[in-house]
Amino acid sequence: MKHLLLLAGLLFVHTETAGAHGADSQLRVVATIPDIADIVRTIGGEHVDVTSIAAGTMNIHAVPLKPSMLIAVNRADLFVQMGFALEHAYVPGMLAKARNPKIRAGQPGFVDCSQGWEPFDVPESLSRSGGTDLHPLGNPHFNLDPRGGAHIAAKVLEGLVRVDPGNEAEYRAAYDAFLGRIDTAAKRWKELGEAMRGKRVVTYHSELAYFLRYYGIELFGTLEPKPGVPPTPKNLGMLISRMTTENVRVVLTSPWSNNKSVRFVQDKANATIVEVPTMVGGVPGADSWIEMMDVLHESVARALADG
Amino acid sequence: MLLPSVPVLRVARTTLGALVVGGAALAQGPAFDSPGLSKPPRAGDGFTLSNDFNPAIGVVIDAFADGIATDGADDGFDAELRVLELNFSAHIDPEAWAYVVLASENGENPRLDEAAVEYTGMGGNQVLKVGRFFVDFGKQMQNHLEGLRTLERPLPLREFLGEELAGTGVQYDNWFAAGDATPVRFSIGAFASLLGEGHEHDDGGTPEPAGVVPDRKDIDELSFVARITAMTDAGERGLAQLGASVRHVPAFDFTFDDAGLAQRGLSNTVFGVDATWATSDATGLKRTLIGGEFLAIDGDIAGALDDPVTPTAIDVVDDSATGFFVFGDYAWDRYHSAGVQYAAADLTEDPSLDASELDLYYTHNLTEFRRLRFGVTVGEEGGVDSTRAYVQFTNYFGNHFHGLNW
Repeated sequence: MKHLLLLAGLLFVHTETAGAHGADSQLRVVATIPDIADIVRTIGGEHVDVTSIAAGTMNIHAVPLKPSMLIAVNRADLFVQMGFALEHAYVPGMLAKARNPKIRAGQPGFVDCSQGWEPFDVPESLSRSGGTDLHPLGNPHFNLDPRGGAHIAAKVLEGLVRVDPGNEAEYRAAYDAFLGRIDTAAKRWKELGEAMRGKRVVTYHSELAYFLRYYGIELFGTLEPKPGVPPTPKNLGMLISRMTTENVRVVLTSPWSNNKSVRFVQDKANATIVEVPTMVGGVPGADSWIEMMDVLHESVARALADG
Repeated sequence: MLLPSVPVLRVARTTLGALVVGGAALAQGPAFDSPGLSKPPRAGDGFTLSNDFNPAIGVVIDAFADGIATDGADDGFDAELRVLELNFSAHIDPEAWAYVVLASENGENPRLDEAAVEYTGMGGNQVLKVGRFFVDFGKQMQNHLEGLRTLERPLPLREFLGEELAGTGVQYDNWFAAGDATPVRFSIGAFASLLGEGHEHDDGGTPEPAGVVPDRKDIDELSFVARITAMTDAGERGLAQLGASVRHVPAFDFTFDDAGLAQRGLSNTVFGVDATWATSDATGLKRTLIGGEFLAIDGDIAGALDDPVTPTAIDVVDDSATGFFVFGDYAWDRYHSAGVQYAAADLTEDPSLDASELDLYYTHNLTEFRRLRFGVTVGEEGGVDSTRAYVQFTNYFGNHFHGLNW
């Protein structure tokens, strides 16, 4: 017993030493999704060292965590999340375990990008009958809205300035430059978007809702009967029947949901399956937020033009 | 390897038939846990659906139906509401969080499983936990039965530590980073008693002495448990974890009140090492989990009456015994997973005898709060073969929190 107490004492001393951050000139930033990470890198430049918890190919509702993430969050100067409960499956628990007072909600190092964004699909009542991945605060996938990048960038800028006011001028310059690139890209997107208006698509999950609504694309149906609830044979049968009857031929899927249910619909409804990125890095060529949106616009536009 | 007998095949057919009844689907990853802890996915989620009560209230129903065949003879079927659990949890203040777990087994009067406060106000990553709670030993003992990967707790844990190992006392917990990818956690706790509960064998109702810890004791007679564990990134999406645990009971008695018998001044120690490896595919949905634990118990490991009819003394087994279990689980999406576990252990009553269990199980998460599990356990204990097929149903209502740690 005495030896164990001695060991615990020694480890305690080591912990207190190990917990102290070194004199690192870079801000340590943890972003929950790669879209945020890309925008933080764009605005923060050489002043930030950014870690993304999720990878672009993952289902954001089921992200497997790695030990290095716990340490990254423990050491972070800034933590940036999408919000609207998108990361509810792992962020609250991770923040609690990481024990970093600088990035707790309400502290300067905590950024919630959903603040100031007007969500839609906010449920009128909260019931578990609404689905597994029910979004109680509204649809959180606004990273796929063409206006989403600018909104996230504004929140990132606020956070960076809060925790590192000395480099504000550089952050603002990078932010302005990023908005300029978005404006340029938006012209390309608008042109593609006009051709998509009024078309109908089927999706697997509700991730693309902002994108579709922005361009007036009708969401004809989803493979999931409710968010997070996998397709049932009955639901698929009804969907295929409606698609066939009404000649809807395009199914949009993200990398994580491109599964046998999607291929079943492809076969039975003679549909075109389009795997689109839903986060940065989700498909080849989608290595930044703007590139991801380029790929998304081009993929959907091409499919709808062909379909 | 034991082969299923004819009644067993009947049981298995019934189970497979029930498989057809499957429905929809499950859910999210948990809060920050390491793989293998296996509390229900996202249970404890107080965020998606708000809980306006303070403290938050949760209920768990865990039931199963099973059929057992022993040495080729059909023992029949049974169904049990194994656990009805009621739990409460809340932050008391910014630096203290508390939870209470009441559980009723098979409709009996509820008992207090856990009632603990976690205090985090000491700075750093330190946590002080006070009260009655499941102790930090290995990766499976913190879990309540309904939260396990398998229907029952693995054989060597049951044999050496008991079905559940709750202690009343205090536990200090801390973690630190060894590099950029390896958190190391350790804990040490002192308890009034750490004699496990529910160590049972099919002994035909033979009376047994009870292990008890004296109510009043010197401070060096407190039981303690200690654990150290480290996990690290393994590949792009993998994790590897190693741990070592020890539980020491320095002073306890075997008593048999009906005959006024007692053996006093006994002690024993359980050591354990555990290893876990987990990985996932690029989507994070297909997951593989492999792990195992090795345990050894040493000291006064069991007691038995010299004569079950007219006992005159308690014979104490002063010996050592070992056991282990290994498992592999694979989840091919958020809704379906299957696994196999093999466990073997010496019997503490007679370490020259041993027991083994092979578990095959399939878990269908209907939603994040509803789970069906189908399994078959092929066992052998002291030369007696048995096979059990079961269907387990677990349902969580409301917020469900425990003091689990990685």
